[in-house]
Amino acid sequence: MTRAQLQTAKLFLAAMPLGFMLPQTAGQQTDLTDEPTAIFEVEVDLVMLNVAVTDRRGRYITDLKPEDFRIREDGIEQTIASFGEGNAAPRQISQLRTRSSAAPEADVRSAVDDAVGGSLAGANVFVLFDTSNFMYRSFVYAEDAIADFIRGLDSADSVAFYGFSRNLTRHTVLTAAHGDALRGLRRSVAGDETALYNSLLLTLRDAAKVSGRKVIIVFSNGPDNASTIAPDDVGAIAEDEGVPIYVISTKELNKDPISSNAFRRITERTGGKAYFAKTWQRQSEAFVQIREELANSYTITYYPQPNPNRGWRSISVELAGEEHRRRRVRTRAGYRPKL
Amino acid sequence: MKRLILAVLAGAVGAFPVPLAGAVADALRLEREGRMMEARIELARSVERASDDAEARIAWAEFLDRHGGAGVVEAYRQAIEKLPRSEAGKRREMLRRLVPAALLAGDADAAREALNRLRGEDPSIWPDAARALQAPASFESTAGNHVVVPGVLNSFLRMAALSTDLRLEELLPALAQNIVTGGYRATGGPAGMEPTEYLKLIMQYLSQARELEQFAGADNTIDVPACESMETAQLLKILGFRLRGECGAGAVLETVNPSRAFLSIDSAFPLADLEAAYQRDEAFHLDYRASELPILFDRDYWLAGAKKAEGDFLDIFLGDPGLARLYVAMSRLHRPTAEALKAVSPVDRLKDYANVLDFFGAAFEVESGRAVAPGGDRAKAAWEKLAGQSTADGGRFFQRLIELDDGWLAAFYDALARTGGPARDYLTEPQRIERFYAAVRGKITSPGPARPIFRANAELLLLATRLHFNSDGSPYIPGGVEPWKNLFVKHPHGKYDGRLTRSANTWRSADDVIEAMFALCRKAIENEPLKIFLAVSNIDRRRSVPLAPATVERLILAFPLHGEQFALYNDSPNLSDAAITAHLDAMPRLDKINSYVRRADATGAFQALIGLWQVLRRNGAIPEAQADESLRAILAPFAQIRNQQAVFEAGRNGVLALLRAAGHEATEAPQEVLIELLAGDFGPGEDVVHRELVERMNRLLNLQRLIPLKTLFDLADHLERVSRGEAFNVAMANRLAANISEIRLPYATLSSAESNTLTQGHWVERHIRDQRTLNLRRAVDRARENPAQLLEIRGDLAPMLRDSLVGLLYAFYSPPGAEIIQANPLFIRSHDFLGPEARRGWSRARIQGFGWPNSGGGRIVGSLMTLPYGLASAEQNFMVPTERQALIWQDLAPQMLLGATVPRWWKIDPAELQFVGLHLRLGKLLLARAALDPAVLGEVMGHLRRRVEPSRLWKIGNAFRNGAVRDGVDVVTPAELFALAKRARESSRGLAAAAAGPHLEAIERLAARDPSKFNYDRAARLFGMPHPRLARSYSLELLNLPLFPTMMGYSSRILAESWESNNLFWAALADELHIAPAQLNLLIPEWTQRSLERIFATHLDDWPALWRSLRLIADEVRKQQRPRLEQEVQTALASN
Repeated sequence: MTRAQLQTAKLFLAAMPLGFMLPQTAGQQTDLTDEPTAIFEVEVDLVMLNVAVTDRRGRYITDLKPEDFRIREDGIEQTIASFGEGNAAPRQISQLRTRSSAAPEADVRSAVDDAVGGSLAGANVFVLFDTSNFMYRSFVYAEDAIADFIRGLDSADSVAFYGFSRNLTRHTVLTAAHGDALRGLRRSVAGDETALYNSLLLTLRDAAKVSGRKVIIVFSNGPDNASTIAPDDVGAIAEDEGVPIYVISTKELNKDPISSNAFRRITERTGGKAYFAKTWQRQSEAFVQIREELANSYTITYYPQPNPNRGWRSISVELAGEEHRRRRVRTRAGYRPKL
Repeated sequence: MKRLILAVLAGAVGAFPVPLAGAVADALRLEREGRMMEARIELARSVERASDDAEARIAWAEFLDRHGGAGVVEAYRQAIEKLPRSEAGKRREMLRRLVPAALLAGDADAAREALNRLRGEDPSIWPDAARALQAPASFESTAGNHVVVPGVLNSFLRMAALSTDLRLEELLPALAQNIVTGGYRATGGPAGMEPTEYLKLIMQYLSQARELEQFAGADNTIDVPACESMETAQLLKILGFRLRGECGAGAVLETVNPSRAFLSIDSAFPLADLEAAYQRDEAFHLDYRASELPILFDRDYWLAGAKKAEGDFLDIFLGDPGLARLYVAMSRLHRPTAEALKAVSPVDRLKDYANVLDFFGAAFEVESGRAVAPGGDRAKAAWEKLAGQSTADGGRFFQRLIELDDGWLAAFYDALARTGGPARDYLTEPQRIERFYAAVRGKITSPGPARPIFRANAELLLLATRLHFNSDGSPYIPGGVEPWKNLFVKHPHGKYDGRLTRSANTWRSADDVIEAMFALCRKAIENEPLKIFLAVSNIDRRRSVPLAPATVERLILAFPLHGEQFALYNDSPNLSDAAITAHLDAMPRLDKINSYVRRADATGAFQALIGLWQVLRRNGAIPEAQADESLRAILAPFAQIRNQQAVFEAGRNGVLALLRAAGHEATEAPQEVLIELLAGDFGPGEDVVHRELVERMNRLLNLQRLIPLKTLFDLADHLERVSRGEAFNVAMANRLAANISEIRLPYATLSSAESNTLTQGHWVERHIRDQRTLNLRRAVDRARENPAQLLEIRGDLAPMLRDSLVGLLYAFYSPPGAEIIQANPLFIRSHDFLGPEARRGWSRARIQGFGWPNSGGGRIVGSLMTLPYGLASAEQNFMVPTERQALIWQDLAPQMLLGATVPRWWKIDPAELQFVGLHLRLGKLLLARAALDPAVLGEVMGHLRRRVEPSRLWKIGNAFRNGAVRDGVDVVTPAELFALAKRARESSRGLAAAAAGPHLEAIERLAARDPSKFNYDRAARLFGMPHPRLARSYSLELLNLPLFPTMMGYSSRILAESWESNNLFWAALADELHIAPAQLNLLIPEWTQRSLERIFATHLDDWPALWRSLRLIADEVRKQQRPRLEQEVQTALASN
């Protein structure tokens, strides 16, 4: 069994008839008698959340415990399977086996291990650099900022460096050797058109194959003139895969509202963040903030409780306790289970 | 001819008296039965058991030779060692095989050793082989024969966008090509041309590289002894960086001069290594030696024609686009021709006509001082008359040809030089040369065909090479002269040409029509009559009964709007005229539907059904006998589309007609059966691959949340019963709603600015929105008292039925990955059957708009008939190139993908792969033997000449003469190798003798075993390529055309279609590795995509880069698969 296969544990759920899912009102003519009760198979992913908790001033709240978090999916309370903070290795939580899971515990443990990267610490960071001609003027300064970011990553983090213009180029595939990523960065070539969302999709596909915590950081100035994929479709896939997207845009917020809005939407729904930084100093600051967020956010996994909803499921994460009342929790808004 | 082959075979057989040992005979039997792996094991076993048995070893070596297996050289050597001294004849034969095999394996030492041994026994053999066996000479610079490129060569190549795969002597021509196509742009001002950013960066890089060269000093090494040193400051200043932080761990490089830093990064100066050296406080060394690139002729020749003759040659070259153009042209020329032109024409005079020479010079050939003109002696006088110069002086003849009329005569000459067979005979008849040239040339010659940056005479080339001929050698005119006369006289599509309109009344013969076609070739605008002519000719090409004149008239009339649909008639070549006419009638009727919504739904359902019919006809699921009837059954209900209900019924009836024609009328699972049929009719042991294809299609349909056909049909039946009083089944409606409710709309989350900019299209949005908002329950409630209205509700299902049918075609034609379908859940529903102004429903499918929000998430607009190209075109954006110049061919990559996704390979005998593989290997063997024997070389060149231009022939011969045999073989494409081997079989001359050996024997054995299976028509049908532009057909064929260059109006698309090599090459690879033919359904698309991602091309005509990429992927596959083969053999041997 491959690592990727292990990431998905198949649960066999006895489901209510399909008609149950749809709202009905009194007086409707319903003939359900000829509908057999269906047994259907749903692949339920282990759900991984990257959770950032901040106070009102945006400062990160650390040292929280698993019991501080309450997770609901479509309003159904969930049980945490593993928990990690920052770059520390995630740990499995006792009473892992929940009432929802019909899978053998060993399998579930193995799946959790695999999904969160076993006992490995650190995140898998995919840097996606816009080398299109729109970036021509700021190309070298952007490289400096990215180089600083890579140098400053925790040694436990792995990093991949990709560039894109009309097509994606994998300059350095995911590696723990940050020096290789710097070499990849210094090999990037200025290109032509900008297919940001196509390239982001391909980066997501790569990230999805990797176990453990992962994030994508996009460095771009926004206008996309070559993609055939819409940002919201990419955002939806990132949301499903649990990969937060961070965008550093070299355009000012109000200069290109269409790109800015798209950046905001896809970062927010995936639990990431958009930074609008025209100068290289601002860009460097944005990278520092992302690095800080990586170091101070939580990685939480759970197996979803039985849920007949085969479509989009909302996720809410709250902090239990009065002392956390004013704190902000940021994570992905939901996901669609694989059919 | 047959007698000669038999004699050759008899000779070969005589050298190996039968019978062979039992195990060997068993192995050969297994091989004949297509059980290649078992045969391999048997032979390996016989070698293991009787390691001293020469017969067993010969059989093993021949098996490897037949399949292109690794270790063939060693196997022949061992076989020779085991032969007893008494077997002199057999040893000679083995040595004769070993020499070319070793040459092809790149083992010149083994080849020399074998040749020496062979000469010991036969001193007279291959007396001229020494040159082919010598070590290739490396370039030696002398004063004036090279240009110096400062710094690291790879950095320069990177800046100049040149592939690192190019040989040293290819670099300057490639640079010149890039200067011509991308180095300058017209300003419109007095300066005329100004350098582009590309060229400016090269110039700036050269300046930086020279500074670095100075810094490197006499020993050509950039040395920085320590972080804290003077050298650090000097070097970083040149590079545009500074050091931030103290020397040691904290030292990092930071941009200080963005222009210089950009050059340092873009040229890949090893900044990361430099930084690491500073951090470790170690010395940094970099070899910074300049490179010398060979110059064609010598430097002085070019300087004589330069605008500025002082300074560095490279700078002069970059600064003179005219000189670069001439350099490209002369490099492309057949070398003796270039020498002849150089001898008679000063460089500055040639420079004035460099554009003509560049585009059309590749066809020029001077041999022994004389021009070799198309048509030979018969046509010589006509060419001389037109050029006003005798062919006896080749140089002056071609000088005159390029100078005469702004390039028209050169273009005409080039077009005729690319013809062969009956076209060559017909077109080079002296009177026709003059007549057709006069038509092409016209009265006003300017602007000539060589003026634009790309060749503008695509139509001329297409006309000359794609004409069809009757058995008596006369050109085939579909429907006779009359329909074509009417096209000009009555000009239903508007006047094409006033003079032709007047003269058309007098047309009597085929020549008159062809002359008119030539006359139209000179027009820069789209040449519609020629397109019609070629399209209709293509339909008739494969028909057993020619089209009736009335049908031809109909096709002519239909072409402007519905010409893209003609591929249907090509893919089922024996459709009756009545069925074709019925189809032609149906399309305009759909165009007349007033409601845009209904028209889009009806057109979509119609095209999808026709597309499915076309696939099922191609793969044989619908037998030829059913073709007419089933097509008419699909067409009939679309004749009367008055409402949406009729659209639904027409769609449903079409599905039933398809199933009925394929013998599945009574199925309860229409979609499942259709998907099975689309996947193809598989044979025993092929079910796993078939299932994989079926699952892949189902997965894509599920991702798009398309409604299964049965759900729609059941619902429609239920509504019909409801109209008769049955209770409405809400659960059934809910199932439908559940599928649709998950469809996400792209505009749900958009800002108003995005929504306003979004150009997805009103009708597409409405199509999707109508489905989302459909509430069947409410509709039924409203119509409860009215049975007619209840029945009409079925029309609400029509948009969904359309999408489900369209989805089947999308799923079938999706390239590997299918990223766009996987990522965009609305992609299929967004197919736009109307397009802007509702006029694009029948036109070529193309992806509409790029970028956000202009693409609205991307969609395909146009006809499903061209969906394979449209889908491949969309998918190429998701390929991940490994090299910088990988995907420069936006029109080539989709054709390559299409060639891998359209065909299906089922029930193919592995020996059919061998049949192809044997031909490719025989082709290579012939080339290797040609390198050894001038007589064979003459024969081989004579046959290659039919499709390979003189300049490439010269390169092959030159490589052979200089010990670079593999280089010479590598410029011949797999399709050309296949054709060469075919020619050798058909030849009655020396080529057949040169081809003798295990390959030819095996081919003849296969052909004798089952002529219906092992023949060229079938090989082309299985492993040819679809030619949607050149032949308007998706059926696989080998058109055996010369490789077309990149052309204006077609870009590299017809280059891609004339490149017919991929599937032949993959089939040979599968044979070599004993891969089951059914696996090709999965592997060929994957290999093709990988090879596209690995292309490292320099410019749009750099097709050798494509060929290199195929070989690269094949090597990777071999590396992966050979251990498996070895393992299987070892396991089998160990088990005994």
